[in-house]
Amino acid sequence: MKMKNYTAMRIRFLFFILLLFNSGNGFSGDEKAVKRFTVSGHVKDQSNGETLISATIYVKELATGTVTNEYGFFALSLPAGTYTLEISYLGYKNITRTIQLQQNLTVSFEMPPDIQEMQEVEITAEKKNKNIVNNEMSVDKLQSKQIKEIPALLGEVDVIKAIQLLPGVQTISEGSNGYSVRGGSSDQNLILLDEATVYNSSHLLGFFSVFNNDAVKDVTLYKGDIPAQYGGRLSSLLDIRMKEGNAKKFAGTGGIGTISSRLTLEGPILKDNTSFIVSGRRTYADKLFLPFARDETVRKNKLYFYDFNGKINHTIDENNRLYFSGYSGRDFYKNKWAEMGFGNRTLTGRWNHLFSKKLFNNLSLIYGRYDYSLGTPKGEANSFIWLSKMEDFTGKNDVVWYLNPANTIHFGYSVTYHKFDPGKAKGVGESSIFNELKLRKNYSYEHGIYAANNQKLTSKLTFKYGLRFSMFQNAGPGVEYRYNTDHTLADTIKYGNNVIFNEYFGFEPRAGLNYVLTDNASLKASYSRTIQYVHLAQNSTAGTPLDIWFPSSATVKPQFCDQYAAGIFRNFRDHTIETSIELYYKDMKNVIDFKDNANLLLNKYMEQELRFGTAYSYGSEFLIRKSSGDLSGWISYTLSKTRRKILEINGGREYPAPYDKPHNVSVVINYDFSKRVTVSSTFVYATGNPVTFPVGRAEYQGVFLKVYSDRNAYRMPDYHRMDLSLIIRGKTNSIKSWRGEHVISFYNVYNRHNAWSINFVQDENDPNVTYAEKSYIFPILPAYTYNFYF
Amino acid sequence: MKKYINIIITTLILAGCTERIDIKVDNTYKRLVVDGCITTDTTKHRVKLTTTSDYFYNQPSPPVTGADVRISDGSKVFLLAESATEPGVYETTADVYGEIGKTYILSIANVDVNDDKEIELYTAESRINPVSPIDSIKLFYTALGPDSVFAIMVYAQDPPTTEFYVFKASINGVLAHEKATDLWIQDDVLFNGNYTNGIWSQFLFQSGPTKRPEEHVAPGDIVTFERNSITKDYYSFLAELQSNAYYNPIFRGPPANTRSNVSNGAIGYFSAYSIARCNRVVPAKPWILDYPY
Repeated sequence: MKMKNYTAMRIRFLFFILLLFNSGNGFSGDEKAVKRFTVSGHVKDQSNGETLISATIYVKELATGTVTNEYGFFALSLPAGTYTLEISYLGYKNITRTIQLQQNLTVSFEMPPDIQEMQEVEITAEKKNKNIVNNEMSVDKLQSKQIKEIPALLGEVDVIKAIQLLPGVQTISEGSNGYSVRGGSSDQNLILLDEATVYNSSHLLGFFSVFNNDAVKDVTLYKGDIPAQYGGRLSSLLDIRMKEGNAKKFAGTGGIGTISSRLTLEGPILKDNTSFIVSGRRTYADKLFLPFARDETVRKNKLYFYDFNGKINHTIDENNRLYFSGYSGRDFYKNKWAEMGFGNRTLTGRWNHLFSKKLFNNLSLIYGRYDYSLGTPKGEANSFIWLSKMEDFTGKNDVVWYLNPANTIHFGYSVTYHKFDPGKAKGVGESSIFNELKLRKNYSYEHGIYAANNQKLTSKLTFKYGLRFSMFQNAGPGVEYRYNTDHTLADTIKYGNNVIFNEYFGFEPRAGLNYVLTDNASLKASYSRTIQYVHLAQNSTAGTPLDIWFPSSATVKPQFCDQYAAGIFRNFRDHTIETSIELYYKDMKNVIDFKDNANLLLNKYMEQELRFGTAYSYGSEFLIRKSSGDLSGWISYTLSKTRRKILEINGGREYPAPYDKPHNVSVVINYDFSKRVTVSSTFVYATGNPVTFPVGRAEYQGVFLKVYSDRNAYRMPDYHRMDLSLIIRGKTNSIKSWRGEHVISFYNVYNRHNAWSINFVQDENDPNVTYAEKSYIFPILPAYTYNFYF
Repeated sequence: MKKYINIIITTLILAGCTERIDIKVDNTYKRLVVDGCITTDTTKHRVKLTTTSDYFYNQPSPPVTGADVRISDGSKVFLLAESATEPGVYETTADVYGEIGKTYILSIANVDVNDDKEIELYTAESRINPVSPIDSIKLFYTALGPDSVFAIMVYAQDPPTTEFYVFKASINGVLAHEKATDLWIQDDVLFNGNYTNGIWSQFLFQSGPTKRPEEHVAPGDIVTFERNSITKDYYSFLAELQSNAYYNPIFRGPPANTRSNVSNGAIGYFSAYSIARCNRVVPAKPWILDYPY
């Protein structure tokens, strides 16, 4: 797919866009017959003015509707007339509003939170079946509130741990934040925080995620069927949106936990026009436990992480809104021998603009950064410091055109400038003996242009189609290493500033179909192609902060994935129980694995260690979910198979991918005993990860060399675990606004020693004896957190 | 430096809990295992021949006896005689030494390891690279994790060429690091051509849970530090061996077989290397290494 006939391709793409718009014009032809007007506006939470993402607006008379976008905006273009609009959103009371549409109308709907759950809610069946009528599949949405009730490791509420309980998502190792979606590797997940790419979502070797739930509004995971607006990763998109801040009154949320404390403050700056939110979290294990350590040197150790989120938004007028948000987080460890620090930073500036009532535009400017440092104390002969950094600068513009209720068109453009500094290590101080070892920085551009339409063909059939054209360019100054087929270095070519020395591009079609069978059942199907241009040099199972990202190059081709999915969705008991079965098949090309005994750290010729091949994954995902009532939760079961085939690995024979777990069950249950007491429990079961075990041994200088089986020929013991939590809320007091909440949680309730790794070691006392030893990380772990709201 | 990075990362990690478990694994076909070397010392050079066994064999490795074992430098050929006391061990005479710049070829004949009634022939070759002298060493008493150790600091000039080293130490002439996992291996990528002005290069346990009796050092003992200049391939072999010895899924990719320089599908290594040494008497009051902390 090297750039050859670029101009011809561009013309073809423009032609496609024109076609798309022409189809739109076909509809606007109606406008001459019947006068059409647009009702548009935002849907918000009545209590705090937060906009609501994906709220449903249903037009009763026409049996049609729309959903709000990522900014809580909607628009409906309808013939003049009187309509009854019903607005619904999970966890809120429905609103019914009658409108006289004789001219363009701007309305704002403020929805009251449904605090008294299990009250009889009078809503008609049509709106509860969003999962049936929506032309979206392989998508899971979680709200901050739901995530909070799931029992958490050491009481640290974690967005990513909640994601790992969804069908089709596998945890990569115990307690880890890495996840695999439908057989993909963990670097094939695009994680966006207010549109900024988060390259490392882990704190403390992955046991906690960088997302502070108090600052998170909405989390959406796309496991396939990724909207054309997004690209750059093969397997999934995790779209995390931060809260905007309470527009009505000053409020706070906080918590004092076992390992960390949090505080969030939010409120209006200019009432209803400008609001802010700031949120911080810091762990204090080092302050709390280390001072009591017996060893003096341990007492001086440092071990902490922190997160800071901030956001401010301003409504200029009805047609213009500005948002600025940022995140900064860092981990820091230090002991007598070494210190290590790593962290992410993101900044996002956005401007929502309405060109007309049905043309919504958003311009975003985004900065993202990840860096780490590793070093030893200064002043010694072997003192050194090792630094690595990557930065992204992104500009993007997205347009939503609410043409008519039958057509919603998205189009836009984005460009990202990647600046990767894979690392330099150097001695520190005068007595240091080390030379500087520097890997060359690399620069690249990633472009995307897309257009997509969601078209209601009939009242039962909706068709979504879109095309993304993406392009990747390696830019100078840079060095291109060329390798022979036996991976030895063939040539080194240097390029000067601003030279584009390597280019890839590709078309990424996305399509989806929804056929509504009955009021409570539908069939859906989707196809998507995704291309990934940057990759993670992560050879290990769990991942470390030192893993670096690297761009496609003359040697490293972009990864491709074609995914086909189909599903049946059926609701029961007046839509209170949702069920679905989804089947998928994924075909991946140019997937990356690493040669035996690969060396990825500080390696100038790292590309020599890479091996390329194909992979496939298929599976079925079953889900039963109950979202309302005293008893809520879900049960998911995934049956899947993922294999890789890479010429020089495992003798060219197919082998199970590292995250291939045929059976995976997650159960999440919440039960409200009363308004004040909730018990929540999760249970997970998964087949053990595939592993390579020794099948023989050979003695060399007092040690046994292992003679290994085929790659991933064995499996770890099956993994299962149950967690519990009890939430006791304080009385709601109308005089004092302070409300407290106690959360007691237990991780690994029945104390199973789940194997984290299995080692084969030589007995210290009898050197002829070798035995297997498993290590596990977490026994039963209780935790207590006190949360407060004011 | 990667050595340090590994040590550092290990000290940064919270250790998990471990317990023994029973695992059933398949077995594999029998292969020849070679453990041998020739060095610049004038001594009996040994080659040990065994075969592979099932992983949980739990017996001494089966020796390969009656083999015809030779080491040649292209012109001279040294015959290795099988030891009368240790089956599977073959030795040169005591007057043999390797020369810098020469390539040594090990050949093994008259063996039928795979029991197919046909005689197999194995060969391996390795070159002796030059080694530069060590000016001096210093011993520092310090703590390493839960153990107290003697750190050996080395003062030496690193030559401008690319070097690969093995560091080991003896106490009163007895090698303290017998296992391949106790060797320190080091490339000079980060200090090529520099004066290694007191770089920590090896250590001996003094006390603590990991203490081994053969490593105990007392004032008056003579500590001999040894720097072996090895080939790049042998360096890679040792690096692979060491990282496979204790597998940590955080820092390693899938485990894989360790390379070998022996032909015909055999396992193990025949190495050739030069040696530089430096002695130091353990002082009555050793220096204490104290990082500014």
